[in-house]
Amino acid sequence: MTSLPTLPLELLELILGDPAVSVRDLVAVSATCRALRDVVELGSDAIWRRHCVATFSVDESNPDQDTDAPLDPRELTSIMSAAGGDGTQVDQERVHEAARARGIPSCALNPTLWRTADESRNDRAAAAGSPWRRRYIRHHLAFGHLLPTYTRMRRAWRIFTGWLRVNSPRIHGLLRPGTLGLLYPASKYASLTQAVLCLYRMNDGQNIGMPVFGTAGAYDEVRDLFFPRLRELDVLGRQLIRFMGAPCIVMPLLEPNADARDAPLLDLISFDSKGLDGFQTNSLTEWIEGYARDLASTRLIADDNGVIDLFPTFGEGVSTATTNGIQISMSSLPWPSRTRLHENGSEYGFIYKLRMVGTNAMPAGARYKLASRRWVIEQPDTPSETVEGPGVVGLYPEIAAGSHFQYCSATSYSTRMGGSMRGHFVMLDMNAPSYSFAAQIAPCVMTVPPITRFE
Amino acid sequence: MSQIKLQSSDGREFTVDAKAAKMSETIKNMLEDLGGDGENAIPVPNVTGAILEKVIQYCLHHKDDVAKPEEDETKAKKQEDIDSWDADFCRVDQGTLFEMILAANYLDIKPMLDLTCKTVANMIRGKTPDEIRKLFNIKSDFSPEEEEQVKKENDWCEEK
Repeated sequence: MTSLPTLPLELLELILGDPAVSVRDLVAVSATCRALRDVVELGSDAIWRRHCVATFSVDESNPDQDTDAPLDPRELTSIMSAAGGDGTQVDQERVHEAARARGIPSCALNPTLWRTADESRNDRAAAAGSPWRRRYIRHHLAFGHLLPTYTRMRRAWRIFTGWLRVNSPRIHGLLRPGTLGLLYPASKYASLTQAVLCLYRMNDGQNIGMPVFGTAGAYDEVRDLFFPRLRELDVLGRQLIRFMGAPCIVMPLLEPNADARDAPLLDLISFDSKGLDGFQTNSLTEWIEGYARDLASTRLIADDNGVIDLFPTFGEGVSTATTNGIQISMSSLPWPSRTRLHENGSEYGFIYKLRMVGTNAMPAGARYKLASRRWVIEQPDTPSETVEGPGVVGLYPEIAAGSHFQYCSATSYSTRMGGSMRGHFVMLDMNAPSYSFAAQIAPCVMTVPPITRFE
Repeated sequence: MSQIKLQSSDGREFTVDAKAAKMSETIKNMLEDLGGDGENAIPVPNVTGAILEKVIQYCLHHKDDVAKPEEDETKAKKQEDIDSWDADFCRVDQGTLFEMILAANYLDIKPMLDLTCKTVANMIRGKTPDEIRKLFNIKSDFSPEEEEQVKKENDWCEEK
């Protein structure tokens, strides 16, 4: 008589491929008898592939590019234990040694440890049954407990990497695969948020010498804010507890645990987001999502070096004014490392970017030269301040239709409400030096966005 | 030709509405190839009379169903609900159900194949290995070592 295990493979796959059958059910079926185990573990590749796509949104079209999940934690754990590590400290040398001893020499030699270990593991997995099942398991172990944050982060991250592939292939080529955030407990009093774990499992946080977001100043600041090197995150986490200067940077990355109540300086640092007067920002998931949205909408563009310019070109937070065809726009970002929180007066740093563009509305043949600047700086409960001087950042740029000039500068305010800057540049007409006019700069507001929630 | 004859593997003959019989791609192709006159019974050698009777019952009930476009089909397949006639239709002993799956596959009646497979899938859903073994009368042929290995291999799926 026909029974379940004796059905032809194609029919078993139809049954097991039905959406009613979950991954857990598949695993249960595989544990019933040899025939069904073989169907689930060796055949059924299409079924596992569907689950991979449905649960973890893996890139189906590109199965060779399977760098989207890090090493199977079991693999790394066994390497770690062979290395004598307790999982709380990562000593790359010891891990390399252990990897070499365990016969994964490429893992030991390659500086990109995780990626190589991953590939060597993949080779062995390929010989041991359904590759999509292996892939599912790897994703499950890396991300299964991070759903649905992972789904959001992954969607945003792919927009981000897709943008880099098209607009900045060099940077895209530098992106590195994920690693295991679990090996990096942030501190005794706080752990990494789900969003951070997701991010590190998609990307290892980058090498500090290979800027993803830009090359200097504010770029580095923001990159460091959201992509601190893993090894340093532990230190940052401790600083969070120890020093008032650090919480501003790591707060969105960390989630306090029960022990946080015993943390030193707790009276100074409240983990309650309502009472926290630190440098706060949106949750990392929201930040990355907003970032992806801005890239997709061209609100963010590549700068002259082919990297992402973090200052938006239009929309919310961008002030714009046009005078005689010269369009001046300005936007700002909080600047964590220029922020100092003290009981007797804090200082909140901001960096701003000003873009001056010669539009087609400029008279034909006109050339204007910036001669001087005048800023009016305002903040709550303080008389406004006026700053005047020749040129801008030591330069006297010329603008014609189709040309542009841009620069970054920084300022600070004494409350997190920040303040605003407005003013004008005095421009000389190079064709008629006796004529000058004021090119207006609309008020640019600088404020620290509120934290919405821990994740 | 509004009626055709089918002959099961055990020699039983059935006279069936042609439209219903043509729900089977296999029979449809045979009719086209044979250019049958309706007098000679078409042999269905892989299907017993008892199962063929079930198949005919299904086809008669569903012969006027409007063919669903491809995307709707996927959508419909996702739904876990099976309509009550179909559910009753599948309320048979397991041996019969598996024979029905084989017959639907051989005769190429896709909606019936989907229905019967989904019925089995729903039976599997949410059960432990032991429950599945009991339900489908499966004897574990694992050696104790294999049993241990399977457990270890499936460890990743357990809630941590």
